Amino acid sequence: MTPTLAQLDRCFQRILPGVIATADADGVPNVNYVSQLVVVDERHLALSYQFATKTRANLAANPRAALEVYDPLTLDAYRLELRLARVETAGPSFDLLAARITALASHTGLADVFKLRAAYVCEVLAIERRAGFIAGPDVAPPPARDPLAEAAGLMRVSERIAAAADLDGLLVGALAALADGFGFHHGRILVPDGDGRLVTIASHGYADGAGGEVRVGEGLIGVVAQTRRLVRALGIDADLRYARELRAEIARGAGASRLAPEVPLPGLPDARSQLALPLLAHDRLLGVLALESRDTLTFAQWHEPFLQVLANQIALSMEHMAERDDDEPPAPSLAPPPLAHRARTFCYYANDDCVFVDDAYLVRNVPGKILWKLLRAFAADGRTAWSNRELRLDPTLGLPALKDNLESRLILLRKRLADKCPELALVPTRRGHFRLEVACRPTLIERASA
Amino acid sequence: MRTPRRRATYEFAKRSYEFTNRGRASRAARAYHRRVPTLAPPMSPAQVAFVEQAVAILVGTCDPAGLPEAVRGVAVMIAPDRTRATVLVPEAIAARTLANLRANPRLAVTTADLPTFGTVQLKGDVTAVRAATPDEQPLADRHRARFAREFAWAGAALLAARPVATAPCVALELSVTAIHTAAPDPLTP
Repeated sequence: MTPTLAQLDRCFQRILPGVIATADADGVPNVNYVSQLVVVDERHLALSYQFATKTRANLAANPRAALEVYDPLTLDAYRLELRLARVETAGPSFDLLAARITALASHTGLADVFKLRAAYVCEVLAIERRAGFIAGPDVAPPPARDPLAEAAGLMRVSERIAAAADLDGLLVGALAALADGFGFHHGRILVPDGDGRLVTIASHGYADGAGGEVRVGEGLIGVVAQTRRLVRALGIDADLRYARELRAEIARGAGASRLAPEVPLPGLPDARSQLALPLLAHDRLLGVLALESRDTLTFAQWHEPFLQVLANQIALSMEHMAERDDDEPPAPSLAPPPLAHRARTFCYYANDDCVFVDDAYLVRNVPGKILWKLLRAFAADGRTAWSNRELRLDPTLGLPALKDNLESRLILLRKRLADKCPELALVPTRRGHFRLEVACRPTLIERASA
Repeated sequence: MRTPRRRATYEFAKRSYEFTNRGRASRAARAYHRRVPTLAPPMSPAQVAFVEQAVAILVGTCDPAGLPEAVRGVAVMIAPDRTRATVLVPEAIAARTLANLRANPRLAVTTADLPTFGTVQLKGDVTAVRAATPDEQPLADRHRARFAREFAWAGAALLAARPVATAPCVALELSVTAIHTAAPDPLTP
């Protein structure tokens, strides 16, 4: 039976290197490894074009090509007969290829060198299994997906999302359910900090909590935030090896000035596959759901639409939570607990809304302004009880009038305090309300700039 | 009077013509062989070592209608004069390649070294096709270890259970007309 392009999806993920043959107008063949591939539809594949290669020149002269790809689960080889249909420099196929390449290039400091120039969309005229490529006996195909189990997993995640009492519970619960229901054991959710960065506010499966920041446009997660498109990348280790060889080669030559520093992979240092999805509500980016695995084949093509449904549900729940603050006024502040003996000095730099504790960076931007407001009120009159609504209405915090993402910023602030200054804590008291707990003797200093 | 180099070129062209006319050579192929292709300069010893020890061997041909074909070879041996190569391809996957060569003897062989991702591609014309000799077959069998390196991600168990076919092989004798060396650096032509 002739396999379909969708059935060969894992063959196109660069886990095992595929081969492409082209020929010029005189019938002189050229053969080499194929670069990035994506399935466009049931009859078309797109090949990436980064460099001016003989393959590209041949396709311009003779649109026919033969592709041989390999199944990483069975080692079977498949031969595909292609005909160049069109060259795209924009559109969904181009964007998807560009996202993968940009993510890889930015990780390895090659953003200035390793760029997608075009997507060569080819019609697939024939597909056949290459009989005789393997000498051993046939192996059983991987087990078919169980739609009931998938639906049950989807239901489990949905239930956790629906049952969440607050944003923190929503995000942590969703990540835990993705691990339980689908085996995605390493995941995190990052939100924009308003300063061109994404910061982790919830994670699952990381010993150190997988904190950290990612610049928008940098690496897979940053590219997903920038393009607002899902990106699945398999065989990352092989891609990184190639990119590092490329980098080393350029560094030895005259192109060293075009290299940027390599950006370490956030999360698992030995991840082999990643899938990142934008969390969008009404076209607004609320964050990025980033999953990764040490197994190259953890994320299959069918996961993409499936997880995007879940990501949409998470995003809408995030937005809904931001809109349902309790209108009741905050409860009166409790009498401040007896302060521990440890003194801590908090310094606020007004020029960039940055807060340091004992000369160590703590937090900045809106979370920094919120912390400073809370600390000043505590220092002035011992106030500890707050409502989200009150913060939301404070013009000095610089929150946008609509869709301010305040809950995400409070989660970030809470996590930063837990990591770097455990003597301060924001403790939720009921929906839309929290209490500042202070277990030190704070000294506040405000400066115009560093 | 022919110089040694011109004589070699003449012999090459004659052999090519004879080879293609044993099969169903097209008019285009016969026309091509009436001209005398220029042999590439001999490969350097470093190129010879690279090609013969490459982890991956990719073989490309093209039919008379312009449809290319890609298969994996399992061994490349360079002749002592360093202008000719013998490429071994498992017979089980070679049918289309052989059909293409009957009509169009042009061949491309790309050899790749995975740690550096460098490649050396030989282009030329096939002058003879024959069964691999008993002396050559062990070279093809050695390819399994290299294939396992290239496809290491698949895992040792799968590679042991489903080894790549390496026998019997056909041997393609190639006169090299061009050598292309590529590092992974796109800035270097």
